[in-house]
Amino acid sequence: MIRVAAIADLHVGDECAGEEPPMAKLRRVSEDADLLLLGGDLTKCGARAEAACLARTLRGIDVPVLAVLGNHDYHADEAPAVAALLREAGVHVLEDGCRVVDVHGVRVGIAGTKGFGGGFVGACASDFGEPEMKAFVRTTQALATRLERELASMQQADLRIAVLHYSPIPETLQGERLEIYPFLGSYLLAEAIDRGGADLVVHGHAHAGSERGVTPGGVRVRNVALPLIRQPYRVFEFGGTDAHEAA
Amino acid sequence: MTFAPPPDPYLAERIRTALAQDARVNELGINIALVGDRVFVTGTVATPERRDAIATVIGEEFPDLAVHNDVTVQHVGNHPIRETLT
Repeated sequence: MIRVAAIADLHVGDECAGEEPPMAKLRRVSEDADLLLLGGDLTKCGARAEAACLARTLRGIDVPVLAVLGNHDYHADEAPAVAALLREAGVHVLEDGCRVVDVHGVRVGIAGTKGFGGGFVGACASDFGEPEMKAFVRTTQALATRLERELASMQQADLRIAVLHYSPIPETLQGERLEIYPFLGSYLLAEAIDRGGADLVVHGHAHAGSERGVTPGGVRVRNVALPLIRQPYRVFEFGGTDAHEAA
Repeated sequence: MTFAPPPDPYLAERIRTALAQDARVNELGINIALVGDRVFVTGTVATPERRDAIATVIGEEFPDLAVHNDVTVQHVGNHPIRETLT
């Protein structure tokens, strides 16, 4: 059985409150899971000091940790430094490329991107008009294209997981105001996942959203934003005999 | 007869922007309700310090408003839920 832990939207500040949940529990994630996925907004505003606090916790984790950044991790214009601190802590930053991790002889392929907005089918931004609008849409297109390519490159993996910050589907946004959906995700990400192939998608960003959904192509999607799930992480088990949930 | 000046229809969004951009808070999901010269603030943040900073920031930026800080601090449990996928 493969156990995958996932969490997003930790929003770690520079207080280094490492003895509080979720950070204390994260350090012991190996008790519950074989690898840990982080779905962005790992810091409050992307400051080096915040990333250093996060790195201090992540450095001690003894299972593979793979992460994407979120919009908060970009706000201080220090995203490269945030990523560097994560790498130094042993985290594989998925913006550097996908990775296949061997877990008990099972090849788990993981690809990820922060993703970006644009909205969903029937109510989305178009690659049309002002340069700024085209740049907005093309940013999401480029990230989605890369995600599709990386997922497709791991067809030999036994299990494939996509890690995002923005949502690929509107279902896991339900609970958020409809007007802001275009700032919370894009159908282009779902299209890329359906074309590239995956067994699970995890994302964050939508604190008031919903936990579960599925892409039009049948890939399960889980919103693991900390303010939504209110636990240090979710654990997804593959290789069991029946679908169920347990505390 | 005197009339109160009309409320600023854009004030709530200016407050939200201030809370998003101030490094002591950096929260996007804060709700603002204005009633006269009172502002009621709701939502959830990660730490007590960020909750307290919300009142501080509004007090500094909008000193004419009386702040009612009803923001809560998120409670994080210690028992992860497991889901088996087949």
